[in-house]
Amino acid sequence: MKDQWSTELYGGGSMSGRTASPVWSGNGRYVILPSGRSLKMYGFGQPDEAGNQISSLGRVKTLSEHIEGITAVADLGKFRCISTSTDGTARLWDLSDGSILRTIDVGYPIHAVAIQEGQRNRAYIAVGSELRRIEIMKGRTEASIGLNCNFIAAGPKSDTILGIRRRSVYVFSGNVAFENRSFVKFKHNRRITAVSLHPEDGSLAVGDEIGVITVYHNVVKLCGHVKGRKTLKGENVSQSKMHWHASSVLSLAYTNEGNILLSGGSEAVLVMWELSTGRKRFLPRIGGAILSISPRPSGTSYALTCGDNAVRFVSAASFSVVAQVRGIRPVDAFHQSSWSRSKLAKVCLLPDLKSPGVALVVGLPNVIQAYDMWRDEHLADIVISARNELFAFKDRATPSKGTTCKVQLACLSADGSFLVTLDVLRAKTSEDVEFVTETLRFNSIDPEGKFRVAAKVENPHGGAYTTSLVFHPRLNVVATSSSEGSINFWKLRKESDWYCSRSIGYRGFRCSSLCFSKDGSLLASACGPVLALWTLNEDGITDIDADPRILCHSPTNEYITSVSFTGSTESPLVITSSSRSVHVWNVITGSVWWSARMKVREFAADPLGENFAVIVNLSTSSESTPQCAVAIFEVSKPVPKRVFRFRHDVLAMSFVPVETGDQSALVLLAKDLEFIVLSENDSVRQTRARTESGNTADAEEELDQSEDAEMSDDDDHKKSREEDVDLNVALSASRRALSAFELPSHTLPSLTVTGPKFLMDMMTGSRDGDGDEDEAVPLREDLQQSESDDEKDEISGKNLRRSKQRQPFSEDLLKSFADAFATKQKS
Amino acid sequence: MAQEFLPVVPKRHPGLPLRTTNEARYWARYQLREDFELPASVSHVEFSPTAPYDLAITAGARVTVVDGKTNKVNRVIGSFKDVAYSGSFKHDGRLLCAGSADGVLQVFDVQKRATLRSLRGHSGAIRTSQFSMDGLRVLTGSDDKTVKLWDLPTGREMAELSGHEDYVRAQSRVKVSPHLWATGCYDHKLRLFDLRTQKAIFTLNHDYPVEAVLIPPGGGLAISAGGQEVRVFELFAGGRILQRLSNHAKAVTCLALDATETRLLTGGLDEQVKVHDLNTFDVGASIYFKGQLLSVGASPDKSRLAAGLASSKCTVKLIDKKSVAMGLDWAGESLADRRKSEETKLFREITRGQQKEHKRQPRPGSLRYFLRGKNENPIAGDVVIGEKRRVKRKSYDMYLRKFMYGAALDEALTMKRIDVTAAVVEDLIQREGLCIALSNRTPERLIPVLRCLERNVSDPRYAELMLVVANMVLDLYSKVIGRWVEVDTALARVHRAVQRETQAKNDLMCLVGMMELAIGTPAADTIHVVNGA
Repeated sequence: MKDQWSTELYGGGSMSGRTASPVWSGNGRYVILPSGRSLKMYGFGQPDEAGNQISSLGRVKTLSEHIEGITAVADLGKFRCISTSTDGTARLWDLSDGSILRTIDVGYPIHAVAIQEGQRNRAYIAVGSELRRIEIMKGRTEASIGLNCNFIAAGPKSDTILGIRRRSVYVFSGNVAFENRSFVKFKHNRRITAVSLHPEDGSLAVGDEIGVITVYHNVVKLCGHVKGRKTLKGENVSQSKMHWHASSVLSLAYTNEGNILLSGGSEAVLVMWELSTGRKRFLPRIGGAILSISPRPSGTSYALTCGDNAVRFVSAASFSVVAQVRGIRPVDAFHQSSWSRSKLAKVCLLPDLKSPGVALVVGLPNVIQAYDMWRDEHLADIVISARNELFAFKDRATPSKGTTCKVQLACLSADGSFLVTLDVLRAKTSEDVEFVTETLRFNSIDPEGKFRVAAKVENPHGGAYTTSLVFHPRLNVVATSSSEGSINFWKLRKESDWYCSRSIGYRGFRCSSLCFSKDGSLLASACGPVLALWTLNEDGITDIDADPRILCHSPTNEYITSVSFTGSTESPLVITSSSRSVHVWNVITGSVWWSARMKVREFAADPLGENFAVIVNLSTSSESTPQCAVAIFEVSKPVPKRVFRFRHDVLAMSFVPVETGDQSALVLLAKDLEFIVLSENDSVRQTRARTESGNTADAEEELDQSEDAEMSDDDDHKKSREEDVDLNVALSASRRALSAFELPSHTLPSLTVTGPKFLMDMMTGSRDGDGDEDEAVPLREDLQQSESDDEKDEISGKNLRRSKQRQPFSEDLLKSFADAFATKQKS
Repeated sequence: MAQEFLPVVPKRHPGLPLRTTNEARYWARYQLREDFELPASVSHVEFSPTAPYDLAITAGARVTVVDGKTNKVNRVIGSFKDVAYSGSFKHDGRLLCAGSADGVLQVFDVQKRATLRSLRGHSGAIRTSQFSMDGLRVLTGSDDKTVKLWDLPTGREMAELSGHEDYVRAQSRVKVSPHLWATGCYDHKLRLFDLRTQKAIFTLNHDYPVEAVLIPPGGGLAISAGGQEVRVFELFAGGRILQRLSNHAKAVTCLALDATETRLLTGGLDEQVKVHDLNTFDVGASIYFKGQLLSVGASPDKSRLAAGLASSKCTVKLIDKKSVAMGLDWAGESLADRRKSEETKLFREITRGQQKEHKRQPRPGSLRYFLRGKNENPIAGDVVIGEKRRVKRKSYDMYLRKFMYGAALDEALTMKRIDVTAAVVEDLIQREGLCIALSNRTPERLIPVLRCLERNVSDPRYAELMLVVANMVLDLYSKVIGRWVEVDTALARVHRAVQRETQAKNDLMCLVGMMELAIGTPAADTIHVVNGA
């Protein structure tokens, strides 16, 4: 129990940080991509069968030592590179074996790094509100200037260093100038978003927020040999302006010869300016905003970092995309600022045991992304609705009306032959009119993996919004639920003929979640505060005029947000979660097995085992940065197996089967597109290790430890918690005692049987005796047996065995249940 | 990769599923029509059971016999003193019996038109008469509330079946047994008599005056028609009601079986003949006749359908000769067609293969010799240097690609296809470009938009989209209303269309409300009223 769920593995991460551009190394044979907290090295050299060199792109190794996101990388030559991170360190890597040569701990987050041409033992870094020059091998700060720059650039083939801040470029010509703290403050008239220095003639290209590229000629010469600080206004310098971009220029780069300027922005169009002739060439529909451009040293191709978390390689000769490296996609590939705010993709599970570790990322526009979580590789984009993805121009003058077109829900059939998706187009056409079209698509996947839309239903619930979508575990039946309370069953009639065979609902309550039981005999639906259980016939749908079995009314009238059966077929337990509590119910007795109160944000159940995970909100509304913890429970115990706390916001989570196929690992997707894998054993990590020749990172467990420490701190809370628990025990005992009378009158045994049992149960509750429990159970066994005879003999039998094994309820609760998140909520 | 531009794809909507079943297509083949003018309304039509399946039409005071081959009136039997009823053939097609309003039953030789028997005994009009299966007896039902069984060889009344309390208007013999007979009476009852005991073994309630009775060949069912309802009783289950068919909008007057005896034809005053499957009792087809039907019949060779109309006409519908020759059936049709088409396909493939093999090598020196190999296609394994094929794009796609939203909408409108227009409008909404596309329009460019709105605003498939467009048009152009006459008139027409639709929706709502009151439960689906612009 001690080491369960401790293995952590990181992957994914954003490749498209604003400053973290790819770096070419080894004379352009390798490219190093910063991706989250690791560096990924891809090799170009190996020609493929067709002799095509550039398109063969293979990952050579992954370097991961940083514990937070990498902000910038710079090449030092001789197969070494330096990376900086927000964890306050800069690390020097030997790329040949992936080892760390040196770690420089600065103590503050580092925003950017630049290396001066010819002086490769020194690095310029932007730390906090300072620019520093450090000697790499000694790890010593040589000089520093108090300048709050968010970006630094070094001129190729010159010793000029540029620091950029808002409307100004600070130009340092040479390291002597840096030591003397003398620089020229070069003022542009608008906020600068990208710069590039010409390799030969020293002119400076500046891209600004309104999309104009201004080339200031001879800037290096003008700024050279300056003593002290000087300000130079852009208007006074000879300049030429180029304007094509409609929104801000996000990236600029001169090619190595300096005759071509490349620019990119949110429009996802790569613009090639031929400076000698003044002509432009365009490469449209790149896939996302172009955030950085780095030309290869040989000049044959350019690496573009794109807003859809991808790095694409454009051949200079054919001016077309020849290769790409993809990460997990963000929802909005065009507007970088909205990434942090938008509610991001959900991870949906692919329960195909033939391909373990593959998860489908649902929630993206138009596509579902298949991503191999174990190997950390993009597999495919499954196009759901073929629409052009477009950059919608947004600025302060014309705010966007908020058009979204997303694949919102998806589910796979058990045999993997159908993928059912729901995509929603939501557009505000005027102030108060919203145009919403939901499309339910039944896609068939044949054994070769060919994908075809079999049927399409628009607005499957009429005017109501679809809230959940589940596939029957055995049959070709899909159930959908809506915000207005209807539950529709969709059946496959012929090869591609899906139709709505039944529509049910419970008293018009909003239905937020559905779940089929593992054997397909029951459908649990969360109808408002009520959990309704529907018995299904052999066709997988309910009978006409079927009435649900109402399992519970939530005690505080909270609306249930999600419901799930446990992953194993034996246990008749169903888990419900509302925004403030988690309940585990026994389906057969219709009573609460256990419950706990916590601020649940996200909930996921293991499809293969008996675990479930909950994301708990820790932050109060006053805090600016959201904080959350992930608790993993076993369904039979109210004590979490493990609690993790994360600094970053966790957006989605899901259990994904591991390679052996009988267990799952928990995958959490954080807001910075990084995912974290938690698993019971090492198999995931072994899979990763097998796919890569490089080193694997050790997982760090400090988060967990800190959580433990916090738990033991608050003793006061613990006491009050215990009182609470006592009350709970008493309540549960009385409930248990009364449960004997809950049967219908015709199945109720005579009073001579139930009376003593009732007394016994009450007494068991008042003293938390262990011995009495054993006596009480067999009596209840009779009752349960009689009740469930006609329903589920097998299940109830299993359940009873389980209930005998169960430890006394009170002991479970008392044992270190004072977890931090619950107490926090109390306070 | 830098993605290709994705074209706008118009949505396809599902068609009506029941439009053409094989069976409906089969019955629709009865297209040729022949009308016979008669002196009075046609009370009975019957096909002779033997070839060439002559047709006996009883109308007025005569029975007209139409030749089955030529489809012309062959002879007229007119020796009735009063209105004749129910001219009915013997099983060999030689004799014909008919009752009349003066209570006399007459039996004729069809060929010679001679009256063989003239049987008196009924005090009221004989409305129905039928030979028994062996052809030796005739059962008659009369308006004097009696049913009599006549022995033809002796010409005497054999029995009187008692128990009827009103006019007897219908009867049906039972194929499986010579001793059973069913009668239908205006006292709402269908009775099944055993002629040996002369007692009713079943008295089944129809709740309406029974106009027609039928016992299908299996003998297990009894079918009665009367009022707007057809009832099917299961005799083996003690006469319980198996089905109530109310597919006619007006009273059902006649019942008949088709040639295969697997389909039930019902005719009514709503001018329709409905074809029911006798297994499922689903309506497979409905055939329209120009007039209220009083009787219906189908020829045993499947070639003709006859309907006696109240408007003193008899309409015979004929199937085309080819279909008869092919022996078409509702089940066999598709099968035969498919088999034939497969055969031709196979034949073509074989002949083509032979042609290919026998392709001659060109003779050296001929023109073909010099041109040989010019049109050869690459075979597998050849290295093909790809030609960059130009993608053919629709005009609206080209404008969308260039972000010229207004022009794209214009192009879509000139296609005059609402599905294309809807797809383009939806794409524009997704691009947040609908406002751009609709603004800055001259009257000439605005009017097509308004026309499209007027036409489609009431189409439920596009109504929502059209309302979005309409609202935006009003937002954009409300200030210039009154400047151009054409635009104003077009707008007024859109307004009228919206008003009409709103009125229709309101009426429907009222209807739903009334129905809820009548049924007592709220309707499951509520109709959303569209607010007028």
